[in-house]
Amino acid sequence: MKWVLSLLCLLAGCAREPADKMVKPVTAAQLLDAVRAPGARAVLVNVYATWCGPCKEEFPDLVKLEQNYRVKGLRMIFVSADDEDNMPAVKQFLAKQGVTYPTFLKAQKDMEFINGLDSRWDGSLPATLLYDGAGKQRDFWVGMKDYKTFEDKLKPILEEKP
Amino acid sequence: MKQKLLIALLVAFAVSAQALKVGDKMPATDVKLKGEGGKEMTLAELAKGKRGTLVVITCNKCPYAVAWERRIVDIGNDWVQKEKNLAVVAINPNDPNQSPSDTLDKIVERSKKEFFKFPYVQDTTQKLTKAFGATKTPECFLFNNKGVLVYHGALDDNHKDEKKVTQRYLREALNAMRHGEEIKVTETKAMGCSIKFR
Repeated sequence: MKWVLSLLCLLAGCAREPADKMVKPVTAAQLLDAVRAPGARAVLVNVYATWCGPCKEEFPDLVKLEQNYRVKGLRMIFVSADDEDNMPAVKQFLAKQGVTYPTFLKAQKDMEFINGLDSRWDGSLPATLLYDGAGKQRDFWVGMKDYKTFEDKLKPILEEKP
Repeated sequence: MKQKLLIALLVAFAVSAQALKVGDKMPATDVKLKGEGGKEMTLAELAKGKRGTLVVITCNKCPYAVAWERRIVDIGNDWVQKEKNLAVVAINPNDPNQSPSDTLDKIVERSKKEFFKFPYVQDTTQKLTKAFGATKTPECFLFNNKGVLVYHGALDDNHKDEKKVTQRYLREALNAMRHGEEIKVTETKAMGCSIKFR
């Protein structure tokens, strides 16, 4: 419960920590709590790693998507699959990408985390999951995609009546 | 932008290929794989007369592949010994134009440096990789003496720290197969680096 409250606080932007410090460890279950937290009309979860070339190439499109659709109700959740000892590289990467909101770091064994999010996922990175405001999964992509691919699926969900 | 879209399409194609399922027959046994000095070999040649075949799709740079490399080599070297009589092959699937650390020269160099006692070869056409439905490095595929897939997935449950491993999936599958016992865990997952398809 405490975790969910602090998560809600983070997602609502009430934390005062510098953004580059807001990389919180997360399990798949906790991530799904973050997805279902109230206040969003659509949620994109992107699992990336700083050592993953396609992830880094795709990342700016997702950042741009968040900037363009935040006011319409998009919540973007980035989850790094880096090892914990790679945290400095994660923070540096996020700062360089201009991410100014809380993000997460996978803190669970791979198979539990992968299956906890979507059993169809084989573990390849990047992976992106799209949910509606009720937390229902609406789409799933493995591998690098572009702005338009995400936008085409996102817009109709944002336009749905609550 | 065009190049980015093309890469996205290629990756999408790559992940749409279905991975082999336990019980499937070994595909692409006649695909020519390239080793040291340009020497070609096929899975059919490597597997002939063996108790089973272990195919590890791996590469030189991916942090997961690198972290698991010593364990891959140790298992491979251990199981190619005559009494165990297993065919072991490490296959690098990456397009070297996109991944310069995965040229044939660097594959050969790596296999010598790390004392591979089994072939570490390049899937130059990527036909075998696609037939296997592999999407990332590393990925292990273990076939029995009939060429049927009996285990697919990760080496163990901790790529980062061997001391913290609690499940040695591949070794357990190998031991069970050798003794004719049921393999308890036949499919596992781990993260890895997307294969660089042309």
